[in-house]
Amino acid sequence: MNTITMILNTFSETLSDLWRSSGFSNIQLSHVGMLLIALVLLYLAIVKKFEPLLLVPIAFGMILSNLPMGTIFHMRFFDPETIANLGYAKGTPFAINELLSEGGLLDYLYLGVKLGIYPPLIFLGIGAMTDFGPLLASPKSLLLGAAAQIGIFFAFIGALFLGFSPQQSGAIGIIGGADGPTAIFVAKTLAPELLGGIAVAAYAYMALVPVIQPPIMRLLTTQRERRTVMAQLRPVSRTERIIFPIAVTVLVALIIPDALTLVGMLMLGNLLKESGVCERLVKTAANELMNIVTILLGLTVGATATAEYFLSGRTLLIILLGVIAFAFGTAGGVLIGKLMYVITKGKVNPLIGSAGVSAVPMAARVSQKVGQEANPENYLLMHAMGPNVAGVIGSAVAAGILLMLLA
Amino acid sequence: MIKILDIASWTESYSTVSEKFLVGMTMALIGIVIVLLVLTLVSLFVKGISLLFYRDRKSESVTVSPSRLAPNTIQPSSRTSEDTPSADRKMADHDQLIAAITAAIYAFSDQKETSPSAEFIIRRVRRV
Repeated sequence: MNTITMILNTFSETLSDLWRSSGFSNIQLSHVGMLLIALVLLYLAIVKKFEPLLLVPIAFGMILSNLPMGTIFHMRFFDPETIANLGYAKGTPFAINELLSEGGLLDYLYLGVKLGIYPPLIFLGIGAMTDFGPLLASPKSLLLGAAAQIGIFFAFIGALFLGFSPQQSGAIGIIGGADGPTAIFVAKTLAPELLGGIAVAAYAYMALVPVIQPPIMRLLTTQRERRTVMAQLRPVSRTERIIFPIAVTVLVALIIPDALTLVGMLMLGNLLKESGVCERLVKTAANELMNIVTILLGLTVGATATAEYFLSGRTLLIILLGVIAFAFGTAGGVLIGKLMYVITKGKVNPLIGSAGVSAVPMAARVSQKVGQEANPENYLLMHAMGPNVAGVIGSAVAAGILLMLLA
Repeated sequence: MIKILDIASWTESYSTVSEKFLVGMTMALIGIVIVLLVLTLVSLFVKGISLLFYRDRKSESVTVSPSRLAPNTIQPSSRTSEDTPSADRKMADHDQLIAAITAAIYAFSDQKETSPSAEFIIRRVRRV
């Protein structure tokens, strides 16, 4: 009898321990909230096809890190406050001893974000895929790419007013560049505690370019301006294409050394492509490497959006400021486009200005779509690709400026 | 890293709305001006290299015919655009189309590491 009781007690204790150590007994409402957000992102990615290559890994990373009692990711190892409490010197990027002894898979993969490795590698891939021909054929596109960065600085001012520190404001402002890797690169340096919210906002807005931009474009332009047909771009020689990445790297590095990491990798990728002699490397950079890094980056950035760090009023403010940054960036590009329309006496369609917000190639496609609504025989895509790729350079330069002034 | 402006400590010492606005505007202005400056310089540089090299390319484009890419293999016809009278523009376009397709096929076969000397002749192109 005693034996049976002992067995039953042991069995019940084991079950009780199992229950206590399971996720079910530890799940909180905040976890459920985060899992629901992840499911919404998965819905947007899979059903609505909004940036699926990024949103699927991000959303799954959110699921992995928000399951209670999970040991795959520990955001606290990267939290500056916790690191200081553990006795590490100020500025230590992560709790290295704890990471080595208790770290999970995503902790190690997250080092690629924390040490700023993934975003430049993504830029390498983007460079290998980007054709700077439209920009070379029409150098004034660069001004549209610069104008569209205005949103970054508007959001910076807004964030300062809402009580964020200058570093946090800079990291939030960069969402206006509509460039996920750049936003991550800046946020991991200036405000690592906001990385999750900033990354999710940046990628969400990149996915929502076709929704956010058209109303602003229509509001700021007249039907006559939107109907403008632009002259065909000139062909660009191979020599120009080869000189461009080398020259831009040197020029940008000399003026904004902090922008070198992103711009340098972007231009390396492009030089590999345009040189015409590194076919295997181009293929790797633009496909395999890019895809691998996209998975790792998406997964780990999603994992940083844990309930305790993500579900706060601050995240809502970041999302609000992000859309302001994006809207002002779009408006800045369109307004300079309008100025060019006036100066060139109607030869530039102002709609191509909105493509200066980096999100390649979606922003250019939006210019094409809105242009064709006004004039079905108008083909703005190649003209919009100039400001679009200029926006990539512009946002990397803006990131360098923020790092130079605030880091 | 060289600090151009210590914006961070600057902002901390100013806390009223107007002071924050001033600091924010200053920062924004500096940022926008630098971005514009850098991209304007790049733009001017691009303009410069196009002036230097585009002309070369134009003259090159007249001489670079697909026959340079695939010597002795392209024989669409003996006519070139220069030989063609302007009235016969359609035929010139046709020749250019054949030349472009020939170059593309040659480049593709070269990419695939098939014998670069593999000879082929495009005799006719039909629009569908």
